[in-house]
Amino acid sequence: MYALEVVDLTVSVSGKRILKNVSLNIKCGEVVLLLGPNGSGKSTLVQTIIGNPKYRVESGKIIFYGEDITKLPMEARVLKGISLAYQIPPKIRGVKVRDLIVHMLRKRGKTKNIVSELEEYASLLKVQHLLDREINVGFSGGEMKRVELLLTLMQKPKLALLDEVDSGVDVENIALMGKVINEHLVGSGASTLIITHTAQIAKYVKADKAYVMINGSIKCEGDAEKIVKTILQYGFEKCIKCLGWKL
Amino acid sequence: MNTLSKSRELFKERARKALTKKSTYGPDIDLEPYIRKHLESSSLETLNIRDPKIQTRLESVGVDVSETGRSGSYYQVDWKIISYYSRIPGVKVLTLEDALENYWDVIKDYFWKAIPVDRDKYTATVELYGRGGYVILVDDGVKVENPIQTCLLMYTRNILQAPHNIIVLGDNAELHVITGCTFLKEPSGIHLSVSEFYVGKGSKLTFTMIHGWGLQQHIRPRTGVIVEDEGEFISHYIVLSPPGTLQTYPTVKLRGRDSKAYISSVSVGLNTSIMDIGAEIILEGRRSIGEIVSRSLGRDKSTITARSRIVGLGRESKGHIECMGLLLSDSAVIEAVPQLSAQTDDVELTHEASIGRIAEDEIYYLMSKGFTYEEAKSIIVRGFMSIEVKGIPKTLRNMIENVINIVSSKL
Repeated sequence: MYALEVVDLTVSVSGKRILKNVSLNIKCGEVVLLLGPNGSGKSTLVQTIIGNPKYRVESGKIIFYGEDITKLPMEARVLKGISLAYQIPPKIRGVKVRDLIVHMLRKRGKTKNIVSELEEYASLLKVQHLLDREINVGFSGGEMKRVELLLTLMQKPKLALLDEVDSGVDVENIALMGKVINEHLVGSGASTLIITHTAQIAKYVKADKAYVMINGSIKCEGDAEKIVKTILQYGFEKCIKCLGWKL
Repeated sequence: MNTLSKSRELFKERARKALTKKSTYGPDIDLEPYIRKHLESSSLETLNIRDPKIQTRLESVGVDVSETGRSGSYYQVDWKIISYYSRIPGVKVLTLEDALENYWDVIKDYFWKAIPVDRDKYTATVELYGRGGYVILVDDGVKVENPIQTCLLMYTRNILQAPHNIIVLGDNAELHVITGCTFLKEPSGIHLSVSEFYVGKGSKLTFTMIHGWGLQQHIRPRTGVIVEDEGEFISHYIVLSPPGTLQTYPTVKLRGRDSKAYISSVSVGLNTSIMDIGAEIILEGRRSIGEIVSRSLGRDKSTITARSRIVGLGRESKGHIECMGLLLSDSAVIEAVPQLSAQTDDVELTHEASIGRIAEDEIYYLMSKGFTYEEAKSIIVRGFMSIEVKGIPKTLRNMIENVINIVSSKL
């Protein structure tokens, strides 16, 4: 059973085509890496999967647990169990992290144990001091990423999309996030798609499979360990040349 | 003629000369029809303040109708005083008339001392035609935990309501006042008020005012505040439903050393309302600190002008202005006018101002957390309107949050 199947997806933003015939799948409970240089279209893919209206699907399908969700509105996809941790989340003035989380969970009908779970995850991610702050106002890069991961954990998703969780984060915190992802996301049975251009997180999270996206298309698919090793050793440029890809 | 009569006559003389003096800001209102009606009207219709409809209206502007959490209260409808009392020893809640007659020796040092009677035709009208207004006197060293609530309510069609309020805190005293002003039946008429607040040495006064008006109403409050050494004044003003026109520009003089003032306002512009909401802090005392924070939200064809001015005179004084506007309509107008004036080289004055509409990315971000477009918008608007006012009691903070929740859900 696949948690997610992206079939031949072509996507444009403001009239500009960004993704071309992208296909990708994630089995239930699998951890998949999506690698690629900056600007290759990785964020566009996850924003399209979650249903951000800015991203227009020209053709292709998104299937979640066997259901075609390509035309579903964003909030419906989220309520079905898809969660996205943003690469760069916006600031929301006057809205505290804690209040947003409580509001988010109550909307899903959850009222019990919110506080205790929140305290537990916040403590694991070392963000207790941010719970009563306005969302992302004055947060460091690493704090933003950890709060995004907290929001994802609290949603208890079936499919977690983690966009560049490791970029701009110091080594200790990448290790911390890796541990939390392993124990509390992957460990809970969630399927996970991790976007990374540095592949740093791959040191801490064992992935089953990896895709490489270049210039809006998937150029490579295979064993995560091998692909990460090659990219870390040679970088995307060399990989591209070596494999004869044309940018 | 006793000293009260003599002083009043002098004030009235100055007021008469200022009856045609326009305000520097805001649309000019012809007061003549209101004054004429005021002079003709004899008595107020019978009004039951315990009527459930009236109570709901009062609650909408933060009034605790049960009064259980209040240290005292003052109710005035049109020009008629309904009730007033204080539960706390060392705190007097009086009417202006009562205070002038029985406490002139105290009041004379505060009556028209923070605002000139001839500032404009509105202050002049309050002196010449006004009735009522609350006077709260707090003795030295008295710290009042629960707030005192004051309610200035308008009932009769095209009424002139013109109270003169005075609050005096002795030294090392503390008081929270919550004022709810709204109409009970006819959303018409003019509300002029003069408020003079005096904060003694080491004292703290917090003043939360919630206004809910109708489009046929015109509002011109005039406020002057004087703060002595180490005194603190915190004011939070919320205009939930706007009148036809509103103009206010409270002036806080931080006369004492190490004195502080924080003035915040949240105004929601709807329909064709025109609001000119300002504030001025004069940093006179050494190391005095002032901050003005405003949030203006413009919908429909409303116009909001958010003025703020900090004047740095005292050495090592500091001031900051933060004004933000959020436009929810193409036809609304928000104008921010932050002004800083440093009159010695040893002051630090800063400001930040921004006006914009809701960023789409913020809405999509919240939708990615499971909210609908409308819910996301409402969360952002609510967040925009929430100012964390430090120093006011939790009960008042909760009350403000509830009020903001209700308003933002309707926008």
